[in-house]
Amino acid sequence: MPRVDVWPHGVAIALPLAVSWAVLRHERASVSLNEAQTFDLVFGVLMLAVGVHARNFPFQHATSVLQSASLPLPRALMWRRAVRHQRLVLSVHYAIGLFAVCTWGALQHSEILLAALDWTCMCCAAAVVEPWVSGAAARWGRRFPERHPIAELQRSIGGGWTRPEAVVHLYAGAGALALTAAVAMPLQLMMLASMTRAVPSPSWEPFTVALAPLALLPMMNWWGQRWYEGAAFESTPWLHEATRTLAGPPTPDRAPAWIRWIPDPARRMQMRQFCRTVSLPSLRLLGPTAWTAAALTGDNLGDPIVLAAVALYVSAGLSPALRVPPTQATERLPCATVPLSGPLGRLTRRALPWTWALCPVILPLATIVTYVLVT
Amino acid sequence: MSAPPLLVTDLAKRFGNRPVLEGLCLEVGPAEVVRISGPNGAGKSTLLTCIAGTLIPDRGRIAIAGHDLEGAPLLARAALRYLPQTSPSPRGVSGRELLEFYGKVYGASPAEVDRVAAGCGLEGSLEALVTSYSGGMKRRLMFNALRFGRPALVILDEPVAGVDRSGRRAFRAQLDRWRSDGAAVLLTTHEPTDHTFEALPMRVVELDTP
Repeated sequence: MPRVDVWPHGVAIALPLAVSWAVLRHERASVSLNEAQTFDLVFGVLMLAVGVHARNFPFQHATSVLQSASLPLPRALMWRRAVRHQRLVLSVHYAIGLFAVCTWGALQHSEILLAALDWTCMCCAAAVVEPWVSGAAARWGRRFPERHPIAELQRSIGGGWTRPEAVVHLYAGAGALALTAAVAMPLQLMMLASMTRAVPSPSWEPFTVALAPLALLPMMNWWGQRWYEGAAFESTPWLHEATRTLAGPPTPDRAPAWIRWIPDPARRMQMRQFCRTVSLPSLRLLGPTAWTAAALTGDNLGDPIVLAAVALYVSAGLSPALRVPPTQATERLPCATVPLSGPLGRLTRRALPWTWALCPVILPLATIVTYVLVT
Repeated sequence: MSAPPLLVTDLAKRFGNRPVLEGLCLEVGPAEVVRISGPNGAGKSTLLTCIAGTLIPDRGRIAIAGHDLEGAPLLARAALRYLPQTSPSPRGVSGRELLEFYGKVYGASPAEVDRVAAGCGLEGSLEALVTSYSGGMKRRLMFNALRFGRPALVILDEPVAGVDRSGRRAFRAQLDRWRSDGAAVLLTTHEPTDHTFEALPMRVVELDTP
């Protein structure tokens, strides 16, 4: 099958995040083991979050999967190919995370080992959980009979943001991360307990504990594959139909007038595209950029004024990022974009282009404000 | 009595609040050629993609050679060959490799793949990347990729768009071969008076904007 090329997307955000992780962890070398592990848990989840789409893309999102929907290709083949891809990209993210962990020069070896084992736990859990969640997303990402409880659920939790059949995909990524953390956390805590009992000499016991989720792998893999095989022929077209419509209603919003002042036609086109399509991708960028801003604040992160500045920064970026054109806009409110948090149909189109267009201005401005406030 | 190559019952599809297909029923018999006709936006491609399984209808059933598209997806697809409106051009794959892939999918022997490769009219370019092909070449390649095996139903969405005269002749010859093998052909074209379709017994199904 034609390959799925998502490498730049998967690595470009993970690398700066790893650098932020290493820098911030290095500056907090003196905190207790418990605090350090909480910090690592947050960064571990962030690291998995920035690559979750890149890892799980070939299960259903890739165009080649849709193109093969008319071919008599057993879905088991597609499943195996997607799982291989997921593990390969996960191993790259694992290596990047390990690089972040191992560059904490100021820490003791045992602390570095604990952090590395923590991260190993997270990645082992992700290797097990993510394909299973993709199988579940295939199973529940299709049409059910009118009064079926899942059909009711699809309608009630979708809120009109996508087709009911594809609603599960709004939650699958976050669900996979939450489940991964839930699977990994007990193992991480067991390791922490074991390390605090015998700090000077690291034993092989934590390794055994860290690899324990692998025992679940065959069962969850089998389970997820059964779900995927039974449903992927149906759920993949629904997902692609929803993705197409998520790009906005057929008639786009009017671009802001100032775009016409840009003399270069190519840049003008780019800016117009940016204004109309930036919402969801920028959500993924928020994690690393927020932490980069936090890195600028150094040890003052606990100060209320700094926290307020970081909150300002994040919210400034988040508010336009959450403005996603609802898929059913053609049905409910032609040519309009509505905030994720608000009821559909409340805002008019007038509020939209300026907010989006200001996104690239607000983000750097907020960074500068943060920096000035801190220094 | 054997099942018809295509049986569509009460098919409906809407995008947003716009109904595209509404209660459509269609039966296509063996060796029959059916042209789906209608203005732009009437739902021709939507109908074809629903039958090909790359779009799920809101209502209705589709059976290909007696196999329900939803209940027996692999058997239904094995009896189907589908040429979409936009030819896929995967990166990093040569024309020959793509033919080999389709040959493998449809259970063709290496000798058959060689035979199709030799007769596809792209002999000089088969080792080149598909991404370097012109629109007409991609169309020709994808059309030839459907020649493997013995399908019951062939779906062709604008098959001759961008294809030169010799390509159209080859297309017509293959169309006649499919018909003589008993395969039904469902196609759309905006050039029905083209010489490619001359003297071709063809039933026209007119779609109107619902």
